[in-house]
Amino acid sequence: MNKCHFHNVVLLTMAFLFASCLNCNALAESADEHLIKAAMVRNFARFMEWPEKTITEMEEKDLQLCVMGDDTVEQTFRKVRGKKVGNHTIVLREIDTIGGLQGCNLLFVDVSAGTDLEETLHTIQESPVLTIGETEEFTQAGGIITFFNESNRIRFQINLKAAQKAGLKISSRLLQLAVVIGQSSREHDK
Amino acid sequence: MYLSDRSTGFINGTPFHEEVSMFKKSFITLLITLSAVTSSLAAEKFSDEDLFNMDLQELMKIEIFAMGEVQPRTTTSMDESTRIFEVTAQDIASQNARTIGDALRFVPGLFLSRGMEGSSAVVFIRGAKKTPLVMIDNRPVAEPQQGLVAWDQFPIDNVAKIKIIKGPSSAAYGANSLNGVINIITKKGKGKPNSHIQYQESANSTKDIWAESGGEAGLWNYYITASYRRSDGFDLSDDFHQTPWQTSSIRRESDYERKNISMNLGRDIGADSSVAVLAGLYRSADGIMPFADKPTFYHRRWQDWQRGFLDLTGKTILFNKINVRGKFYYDQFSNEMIFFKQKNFPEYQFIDRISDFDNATIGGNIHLNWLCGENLKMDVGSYIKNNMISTRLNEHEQWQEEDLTTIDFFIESRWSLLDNLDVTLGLNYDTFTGTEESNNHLSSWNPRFFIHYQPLKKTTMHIAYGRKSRFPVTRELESENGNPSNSEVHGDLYEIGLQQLLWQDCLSLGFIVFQTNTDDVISRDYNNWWTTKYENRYEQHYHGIELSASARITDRLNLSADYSYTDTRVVDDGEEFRLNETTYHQINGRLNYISDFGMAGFIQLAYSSGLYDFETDKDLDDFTLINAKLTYSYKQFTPFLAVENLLDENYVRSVGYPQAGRTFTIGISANF
Repeated sequence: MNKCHFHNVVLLTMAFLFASCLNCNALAESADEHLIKAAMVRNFARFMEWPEKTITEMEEKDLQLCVMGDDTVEQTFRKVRGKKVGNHTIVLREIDTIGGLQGCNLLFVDVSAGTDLEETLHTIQESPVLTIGETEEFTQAGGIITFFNESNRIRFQINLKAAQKAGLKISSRLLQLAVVIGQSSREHDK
Repeated sequence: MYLSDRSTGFINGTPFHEEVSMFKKSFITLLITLSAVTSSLAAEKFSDEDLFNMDLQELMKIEIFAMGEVQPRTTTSMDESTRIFEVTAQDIASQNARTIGDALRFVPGLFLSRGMEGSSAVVFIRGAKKTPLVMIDNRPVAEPQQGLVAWDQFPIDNVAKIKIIKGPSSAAYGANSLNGVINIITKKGKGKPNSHIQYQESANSTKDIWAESGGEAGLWNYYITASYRRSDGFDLSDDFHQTPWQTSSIRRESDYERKNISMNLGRDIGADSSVAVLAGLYRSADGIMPFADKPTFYHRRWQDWQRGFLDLTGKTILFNKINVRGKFYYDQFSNEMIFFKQKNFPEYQFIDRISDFDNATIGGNIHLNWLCGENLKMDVGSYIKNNMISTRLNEHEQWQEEDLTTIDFFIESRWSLLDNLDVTLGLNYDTFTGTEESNNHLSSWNPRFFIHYQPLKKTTMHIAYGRKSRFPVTRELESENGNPSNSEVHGDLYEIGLQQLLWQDCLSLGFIVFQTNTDDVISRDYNNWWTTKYENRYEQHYHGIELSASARITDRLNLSADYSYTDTRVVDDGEEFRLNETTYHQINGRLNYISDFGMAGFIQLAYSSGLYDFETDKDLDDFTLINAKLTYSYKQFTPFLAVENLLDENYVRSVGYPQAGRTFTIGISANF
């Protein structure tokens, strides 16, 4: 083999290996779970209709996204800070205690939060807060949306009854993508 | 070879200009290929911004990292990228640990011994024969005279988590982290108020009663705990051969009585801010174990050890961007040590003197961190503390006053250069001002860097370097053997690590190799121990490896194991030798099982070998320890049975200090 070609083959192989190493995550089209969830939470807000009073408050205080979880989760969600949903800028609040929930428009409760779910959801019961969790128990306890994994991809379940109780209207476009629970029989008929 | 051929104008027989041309072509090919391959793949890669620009349907198509997978982009500091060993509240309960010392017994690469150095327990990390930097909620707690930590006097009651950072740690821990960092994080009240009470008992009237309560009420959260613990001492193994200095089966002077109370009261202020007050009062009376195999010059007891602290902490977010955490604290402790004469040996009845040691520390720290754009995170902050020490050798002498101030400034930044590559750079500037008498003023610059790389989805690697220092303690400066001209001890720490997940993430493997070179280590002359002053004498080199594996066999059964090897060498006046208690192999294994009917079991196995005795130049005997705990939960009650040293192994971790034999404990806990 020509020496030049030989060198090229070696270098090409090295380049391929190097690039493959650097990008094997990309080949799998994978990403950090919490980062995807943070992006999805922002999307949920786009398909929500809050009561008029809450929207007026948002105009003054922006959209309050509250996060309960460990440092890693909070760190990931900080990347949502400052992003827009419609005309509203997202303000991130890292919540340690139930006492800090006042004024939240969206609440994400990570499994690492170690909080009493029932107690947390009871505190904001019937307030226009879009609650998002990560376990089946979350929607059972009155949470509105919960994430679940299916074939290593993120899906979500919506508790329609809980959303109605909170005074939130959910776009049918969002409902089409979700597994919906808590529908009335009339809605089923539709 | 290349250069010499080049001078002749030929490379491997090919004219030089042709070879250069070939090299250029090849190099250009490499660059083009790299660019092409990288950019073709980059089109499929998701940056943070890509994700935030996607709609829901697109997001739902992305494959996620599996649970438990290492995710480099979520790291927040150098430490979170390195292998930190954590002892959680669950581990503490499983091990039935009653003191912080108990909780650290089986940490890989960490050496704990009871009875040496005039303390009830000592801890060394990776062969460094000095206490690491120990913080409780970011408050340094080592006493400034000898640099020791009261491992068995600090209660475990309020501990949520203990983080052990052995290598080049983050700059954000401040000064004196040369010998590792142990960061103890305490509990705070969360959720619905609840209470827990526990009672346990073992041989020699060893009794523990402990209660805690915590929760939230509106904007307030609270946590309070109290405990009472006492013992007449621990039993030695049946295999221990009595000596004239240890004639009973109960280890001499291993008795104690401890009373502790602490609280944490917090309040949220507005959306982004909170404040908290932490306070505690600990009291203890302890024997100090003498040698079991030879006479002790003095016999000593801590007859009244007291420590009280008040922490004020707060956190907020400034400009919707900068996270700010701050702390101000006052920490006071006093320690009365009683010395007995050797008359009527072995019954020490005659008091020779009572020495006193008081220390009041006032300090504070502030830590700011923020994200500069998508890929750069900054941390800056400062620690400051002032120790006011009062000592007297006996009640007839004047109090000696000393005043020490330590200040640290740190800055650390982390760049996410690629989705799978983070680089961290950090720098500490530490200063130390000693007493007026000695006029010590020392300062130290300590840089560090860290690279964290994830070449494959389930593989992470890190390379770390840190230069660190330790300032002298007052014994090394001002005591009878002190030397006011001693300067700080320096060290260069290197670490390379690899972590791999296998078998659908059920098995996690870790590998670390480390090397530390310290210089100007403060010591007295080993050959002239009693007369020589402390000096910046020798070099110390230690290296080793750490392997770890943890497996989730089922949802209810977990197994983990680790192996660590540490070799420590000292070079003094050109002569190399090994150090006591620092060269060893250590293997730990743990098994946790939780049944679906309320029963849970924990078994721990620990094997050590290669501990060394400097005086006889021999390795100490290997030993194997097995501990176990069985619990059964029925409604709110959980009775339990625990055993330590099931094999009744007769062992020492340092020469002359036999450790506890087989010990059974029974107890019950209740939650309300």
